[in-house]
Amino acid sequence: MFQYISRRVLSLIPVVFLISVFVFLFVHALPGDPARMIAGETATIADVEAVRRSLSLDDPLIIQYLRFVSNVLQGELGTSFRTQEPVAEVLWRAFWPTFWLASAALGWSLVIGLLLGVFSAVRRGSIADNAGMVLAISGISMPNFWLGLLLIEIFAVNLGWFGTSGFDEPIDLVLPSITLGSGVAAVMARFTRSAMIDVNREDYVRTARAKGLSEKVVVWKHTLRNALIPVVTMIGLQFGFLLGGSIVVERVFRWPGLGSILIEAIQYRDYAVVQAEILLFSLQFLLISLLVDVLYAVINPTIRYK
Amino acid sequence: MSVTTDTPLPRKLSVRSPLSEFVRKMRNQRVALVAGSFILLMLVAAVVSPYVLSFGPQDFDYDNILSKPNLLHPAGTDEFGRDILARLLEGAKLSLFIGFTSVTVGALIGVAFGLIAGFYGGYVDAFIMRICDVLFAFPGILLAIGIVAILGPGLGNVIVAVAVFSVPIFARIVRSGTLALKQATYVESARAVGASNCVLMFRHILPGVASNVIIYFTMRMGTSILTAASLSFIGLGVEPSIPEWGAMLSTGREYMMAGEWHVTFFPGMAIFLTVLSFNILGDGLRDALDPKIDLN
Repeated sequence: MFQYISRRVLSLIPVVFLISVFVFLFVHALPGDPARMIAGETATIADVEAVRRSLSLDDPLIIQYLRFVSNVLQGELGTSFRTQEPVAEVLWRAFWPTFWLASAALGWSLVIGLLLGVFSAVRRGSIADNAGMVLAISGISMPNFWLGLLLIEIFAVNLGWFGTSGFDEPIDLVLPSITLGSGVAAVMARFTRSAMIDVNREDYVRTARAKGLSEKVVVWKHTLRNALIPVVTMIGLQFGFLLGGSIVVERVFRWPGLGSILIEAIQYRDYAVVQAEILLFSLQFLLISLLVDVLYAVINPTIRYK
Repeated sequence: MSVTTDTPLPRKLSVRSPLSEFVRKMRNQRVALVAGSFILLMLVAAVVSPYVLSFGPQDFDYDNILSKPNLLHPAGTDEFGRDILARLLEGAKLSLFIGFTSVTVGALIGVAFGLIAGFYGGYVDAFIMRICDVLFAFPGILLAIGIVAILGPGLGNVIVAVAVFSVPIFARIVRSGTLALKQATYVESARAVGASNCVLMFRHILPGVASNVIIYFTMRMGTSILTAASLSFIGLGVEPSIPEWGAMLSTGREYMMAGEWHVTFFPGMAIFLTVLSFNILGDGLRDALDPKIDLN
């Protein structure tokens, strides 16, 4: 187990390296002078020169890259030109609303998606199964920003049960997390259903039935436990959808999270913030997929010996 | 999509061509056929709409600002009195165009990568697949936002941004198909009679993986249209004045809050139905093209 995890962590090194190069080059890939870009559109020539000196943009790229990495490792992410705040503080403040939103969305959608998938598989071919799968493919095709607007229209504007925007109290999580999680719930339901159907054909499931175990035990203990193995990898991919989706959903609900900050920073060309955000999003995603792989090894012992 | 069982037919001994086999199976995918017809119908409506509708997508009707759906304006009007139906149909052309070009670009690059990686193996394979892993690891929309942040908004850049994240999927499916096919007897025989690598890859292996490419192409169309609309919704897509579905939803948000439900309802419905149709069509094509699923 330890060996597997360490091998998996080591395999991340080239990926992290590529990402850091990409994020570092990001500012250099922008059209025009990076110092001017970082200093902002309204900066004076003196400001631009100050940025150039503070970032030592005249040094060879490789030196600049090494300095960038060492700064990031020390938590030094630069200053937002727009608010003059340290970028690390901006991100830290925005991290929590996004964290709560993504966690709430992931939580409900996993439970609902799994249950829907299991029930559809058990009643395969029935009206309930077909209805569930229509619901699932609709959920996948639904633009989450439209779902968000519909929910606001019905539950906030017309019924007045919830606020239309912002994050002041936990109840504000309800509509955004439903919006964000719907696609994940739909994918999980479809995926769980087909994994359950595949496993159901296995000999050991037939054996379990043949030796007279109740259907409940067969479904929950034999089929689901083995169907969960591919489902767990799916969760990792879904987390990526959630991170990406949160950018759009935060926009719908004017949510004070990382997504809103990112869009705002792009619109104001606040590149220090954009750069740090892309780095943060990527690393978050890698960390989650690492956790999922470890979890995968825990529930599926054969993977460890590959 | 469940596999429907036919009434047992007397088994014919004549060899069916792949095309007639596909047509035979596709005929049973009724929902998928409806979805495909919807897409065709929308395309036709979008093309003929300028000649049929009495309002153009950019015509202002100041007497009817934000009017609810009525006989004159079947989907109502927006804040400038522009006919929403005309704008939706104009947006349909744009969405289908963005979807089609970006998936085509992504598929061409991805297929080439996948063929080369699967065929040559070794370091080439490892290198290409590592890049694809990194690309694949990113949520599509985040990648697209990063690219638009560098290139700036606009139609062409949106297409590039959406195309990039289709590449790894095509590379992966074509690679795995190539790995299996390059050891097939017919490919070995072609090699034995002296076919060049290029001929082997494009003439012999590519047709074998084509059905998978077609299935994913259809499904990616839906995803790409959704991503492009999301980009426009967050203000990083095409210019707001262009009648793009996502952009219409974005500007409609404030009016919806004020009770004008139709300004966001119809554009959202257009995106939803289009993406749903492509997804259903993709599911149907998969069932019809997969040789493992036989209806008999």
